[in-house]
Amino acid sequence: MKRLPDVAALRDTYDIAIIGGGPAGMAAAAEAGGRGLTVLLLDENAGLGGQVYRGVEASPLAAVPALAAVPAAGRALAAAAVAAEVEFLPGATAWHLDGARSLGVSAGRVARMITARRVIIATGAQERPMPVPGWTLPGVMSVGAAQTLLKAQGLVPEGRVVIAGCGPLVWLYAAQLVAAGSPPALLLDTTPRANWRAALPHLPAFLRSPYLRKGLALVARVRRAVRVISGVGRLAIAAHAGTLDVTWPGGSVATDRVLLHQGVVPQLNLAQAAGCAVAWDAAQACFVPLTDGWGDTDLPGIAIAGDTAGIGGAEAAEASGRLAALEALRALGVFGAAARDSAAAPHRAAQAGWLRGRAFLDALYQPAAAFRIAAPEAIACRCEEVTGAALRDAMRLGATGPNQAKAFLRCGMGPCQGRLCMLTVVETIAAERRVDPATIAPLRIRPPVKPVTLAEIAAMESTDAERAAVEGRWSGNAQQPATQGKEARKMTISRRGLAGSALAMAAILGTGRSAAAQAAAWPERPVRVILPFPPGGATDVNARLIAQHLQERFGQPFTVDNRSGGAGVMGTDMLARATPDGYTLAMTASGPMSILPQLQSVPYDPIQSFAHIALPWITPLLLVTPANSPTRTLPELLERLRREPGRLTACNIGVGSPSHLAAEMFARAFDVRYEQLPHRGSAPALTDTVAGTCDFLFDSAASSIPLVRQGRLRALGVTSLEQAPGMPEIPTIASQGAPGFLATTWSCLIAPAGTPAPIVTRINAEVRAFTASPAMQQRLRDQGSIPLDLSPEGFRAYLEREIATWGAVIRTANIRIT
Amino acid sequence: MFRRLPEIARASLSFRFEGAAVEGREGDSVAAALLALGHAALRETPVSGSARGPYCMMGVCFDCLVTIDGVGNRQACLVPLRAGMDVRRQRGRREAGS
Amino acid sequence: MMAQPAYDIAVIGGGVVGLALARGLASRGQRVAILDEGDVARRASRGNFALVWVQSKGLGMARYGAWTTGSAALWPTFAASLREETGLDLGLSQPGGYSLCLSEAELDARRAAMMRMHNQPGWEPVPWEVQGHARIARAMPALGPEVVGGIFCPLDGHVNSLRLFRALQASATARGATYLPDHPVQSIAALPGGGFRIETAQRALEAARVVLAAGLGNATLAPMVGLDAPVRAQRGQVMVTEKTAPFLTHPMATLRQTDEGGVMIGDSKEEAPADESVGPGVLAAMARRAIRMFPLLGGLNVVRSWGALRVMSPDGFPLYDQSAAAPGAFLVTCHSGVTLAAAHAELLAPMIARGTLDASLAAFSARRFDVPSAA
Repeated sequence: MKRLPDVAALRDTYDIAIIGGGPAGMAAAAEAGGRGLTVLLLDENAGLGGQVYRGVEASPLAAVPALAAVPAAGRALAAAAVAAEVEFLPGATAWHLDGARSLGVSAGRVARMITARRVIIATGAQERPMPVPGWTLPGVMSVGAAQTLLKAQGLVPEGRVVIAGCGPLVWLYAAQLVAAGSPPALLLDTTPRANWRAALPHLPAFLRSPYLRKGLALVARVRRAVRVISGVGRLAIAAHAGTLDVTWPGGSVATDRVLLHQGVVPQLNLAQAAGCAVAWDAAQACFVPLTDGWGDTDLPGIAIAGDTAGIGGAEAAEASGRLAALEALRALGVFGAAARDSAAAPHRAAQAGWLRGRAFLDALYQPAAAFRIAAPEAIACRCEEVTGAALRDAMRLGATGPNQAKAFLRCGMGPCQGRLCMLTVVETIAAERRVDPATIAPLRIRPPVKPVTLAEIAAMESTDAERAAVEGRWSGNAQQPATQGKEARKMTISRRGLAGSALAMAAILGTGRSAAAQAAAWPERPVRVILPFPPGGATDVNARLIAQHLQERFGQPFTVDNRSGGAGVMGTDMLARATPDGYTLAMTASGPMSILPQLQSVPYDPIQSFAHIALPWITPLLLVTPANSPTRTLPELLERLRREPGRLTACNIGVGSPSHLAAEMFARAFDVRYEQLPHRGSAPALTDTVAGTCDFLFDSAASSIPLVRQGRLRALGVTSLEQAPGMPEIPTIASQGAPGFLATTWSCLIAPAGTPAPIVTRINAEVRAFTASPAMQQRLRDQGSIPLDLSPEGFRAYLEREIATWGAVIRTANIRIT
Repeated sequence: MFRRLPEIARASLSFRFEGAAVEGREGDSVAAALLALGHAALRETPVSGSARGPYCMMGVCFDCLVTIDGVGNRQACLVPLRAGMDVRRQRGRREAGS
Repeated sequence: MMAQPAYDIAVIGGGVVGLALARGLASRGQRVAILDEGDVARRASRGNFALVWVQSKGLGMARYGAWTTGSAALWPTFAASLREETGLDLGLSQPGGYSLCLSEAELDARRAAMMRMHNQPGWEPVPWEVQGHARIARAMPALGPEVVGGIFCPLDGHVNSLRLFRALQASATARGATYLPDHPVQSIAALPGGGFRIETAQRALEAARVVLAAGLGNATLAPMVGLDAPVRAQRGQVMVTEKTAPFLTHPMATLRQTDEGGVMIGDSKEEAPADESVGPGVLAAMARRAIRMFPLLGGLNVVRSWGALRVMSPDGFPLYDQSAAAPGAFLVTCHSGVTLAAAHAELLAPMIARGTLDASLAAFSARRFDVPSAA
């Protein structure tokens, strides 16, 4: 094990990242190390062990004869983890995890984002809140907290100690105190008497489990040395003259310290923030994540092991960690399913053995309902000091779950992010509303799941699109000189794209079939068509028509997946990073392919990152004026422009849009000057032109044709080289004094670079056949588009010409977007 | 409050709490050291000024907040004690400067 | 002939827009039902920045500037009456607010935009001025050196929006409004004799009038009552820090310190978002700008982040409409629900109670978009 000093020592990416150094995490590390993969283990504490094996590496208890056995429990496992070929970063908080397996790590107040091919969340358990009146008073702690002080620092509570609650840890810690010579003054057992009856059916399994022997001995040892009161149904703590008064039905006692415990629950915040699905588990009365037998969640590459996946105890957690690691190794190609299964067999058996006894313990020690909800005077949310009474007020106002309760009361808004209040809130609301907690959704959790400084967040990277989403606000409606230099206009070759396709080709070829055979068999399963724009627009509608045709022709679903963002850049980039096996395509457009890469830096190269399948048609722009404009033809407009230089106004639909660029081209082609007025989109620009606020506008034929036909706009020219079939009466601008004037928009079908050529050819042929159909030809005519009939090579050549054309305009007009 | 088991021999660390010179041990978290010194209450909440002290000792309850070397809202149970630290109670909201 | 419907008005949507209207309607004696979705729903209101903001509103529609200024002027009495009714202090503070600029170019652009706004025909004057770094630093000494200056508008302010929701809900229900959560609306049908039948996931109910205040949900509901609600989602992401002793005395457009002490940092404008998720890249960009404005922020812990989908019309201005085809159906949508809460409760609700929107609101009708939307 290599202990890393800080986040700077982390690699950018790991094969396996294990979050949490408790039994599950250590077991996963021991299993995954030494296989030729890069493995990272993270833990918040300075050493291994998590909570249940806290201090296992250097426990002070080793020197205490009566308690030396305590740290021994996890020692073998810790030794195995230390011997493993893994990297370990202690003192590290994992504050961000998402479905793409980007992991935000912070240590020493420095943060870093890394990625992993597989993530194993082993964040363990936390103690369930026990919201009795007075539980927030100084001097009241959890039993687990006291046990941590014992294991990590060899500290034992002085004075009178009352332990109250239920669950194995209560007896275990009480026994440890007895062994240390400081028995608690009183143990208030809140196990409901009725639980014994409920647990009875599980008794036979418990009797066969390893828990039996340990458990009985413990309880006997404690009962011999400590006064125990059983069946305590209610509890309250009050501060009084420097001591704490504990009262329960039938008794009260003054004490120096109260230790509370009623079981443990999974620590789910990181998993939830990543998007893992969770569901209410009635037996354990908490939320548990949905995982399969290997710990895999519904998020690809993300697994959960140990108590986080469901409380099972330290030994079961160890087995679970091994299983998750074995599955990760299989998924990464270290061995196949058969080898994985045979390695897993002993761990499955061990896990089953340990879990066999759990059902009995779960049933016996399920905390009483009264202790899981907050009494009116008790604090439900410690961070924001929200009482049970306030919670009921919020419910009366209409809060039906913890998210609305949070909005009303702030409970869940504090730094603990619901760790100590969410369960209380859910169960209190469920009890008030008399519904099953399973019908109430948990609190929505988002990163950062642990506090991280603003400076650490600021040090993370942002794409240009993300930066524009924040900084683009201030430029308002005026065109701004950019603060970015030439770099912004360079197109960057996506190393990611090329490396990704090489890896993917290896993966394809590694399956044993020849690439040709696979290409011939394609498609054998559904194909995803990324649409980098929102649903409902023209690109979307036409893409769906094409997808439907391909589906009919190829006999597999072709599903359109809208992934908009960054004006098409995000979805286009997503395609660049996809596996080039023919099962992911994208229908993107001229903006992200030929214009935006020259205005900002995008993470792909329009030529190098893609296989160019088809460019089925182009849509020219129309030069339109208000219907009552004094200039009725292009020559008249030009004459007026020359007579009044700089006085006329042209709308455009946005800085950097084809509308804007076409207007610039126009200015240069005819050597005229006018004011440009950017708008936010086509609708406002058209509105202003119809109203006469603007003198003219270049806009897509698809949006402006209807207004021209209604007589509210006049079209003076079209920006294609040839007449658009649907608009024969509108002359081209090229024919009116600017030969070669060409400014069109288009959609296109692409795949990641490296997609087998036969697949590209087959799709191209089908798209061309579809475009040639009478129905599609009519549709294109109606929308003012001009069909093309290009091969993949022809598409690529067209793209190169477009890039050159737009590039020339952008450079000479010095257009930049910030 | 909390006593140290006599068999354990760990080196002593000097630090300051609320301006007074005090001692902890190697391997202590700041919270453990303060509990061993007999301090149960480490902060006053910003909402009501109520006294709070460590509850969970594992970083999930956020009740053990103290100011360490001028930086407020540090979770004492997660910060390893170092010689020379200046630790103060977190009284209400922290200050923005550090 | 339809029997007396159970409610005078059904308000669809329990966010800040719906609640403000419900409060205004209930306090004028209307029997109101508020139909809301469940605990987990899109809820644009959760993304609010709690600003009562005037300075940048109205470029492109002078009427919106006047409407906003009017709402801000009504806010103090609005907050006072809610406090009197519910005992909740909304923490309204209107000390004036800033848009801080980190470069001369940014300041120029903002100044130019303010001037264009004020030069619009029909513009009602709003006080504003450009302040340089030194002047702003006197008000807020923590100001970072990169701030070259900003636009200050004395009418700007902020409020505790959580307490606003609670107060609106408490006030409306105290005056007899019925809040119905977990009642997502599936269809609305105009009844032949007048009134509306509203089908929800739970049951159907009838009301004499209906107000669509369902944010993005209005897009599907509006056509059911002969209206058009061309709204789109625009994601905003927000971060909030731990509670900190007060040091930001004025709200900024993208940065404010709440009365509880946390500093809120926002916000992004992302078009066509896939969902409300937050992303570290956007948060990082927001964090960098915030730290450049107030370097002290760098040391504060961010305890939470969240995203929400703003409800944006094509031009960003509100949509207020009443249906001709289905009289009694109203549409109310905007993205500044907190700023406009006073106007919605005190000016718009009475119009709806009377049964017709004033001619003064004609500029906000969706008819202004009578052009086909583009791809």
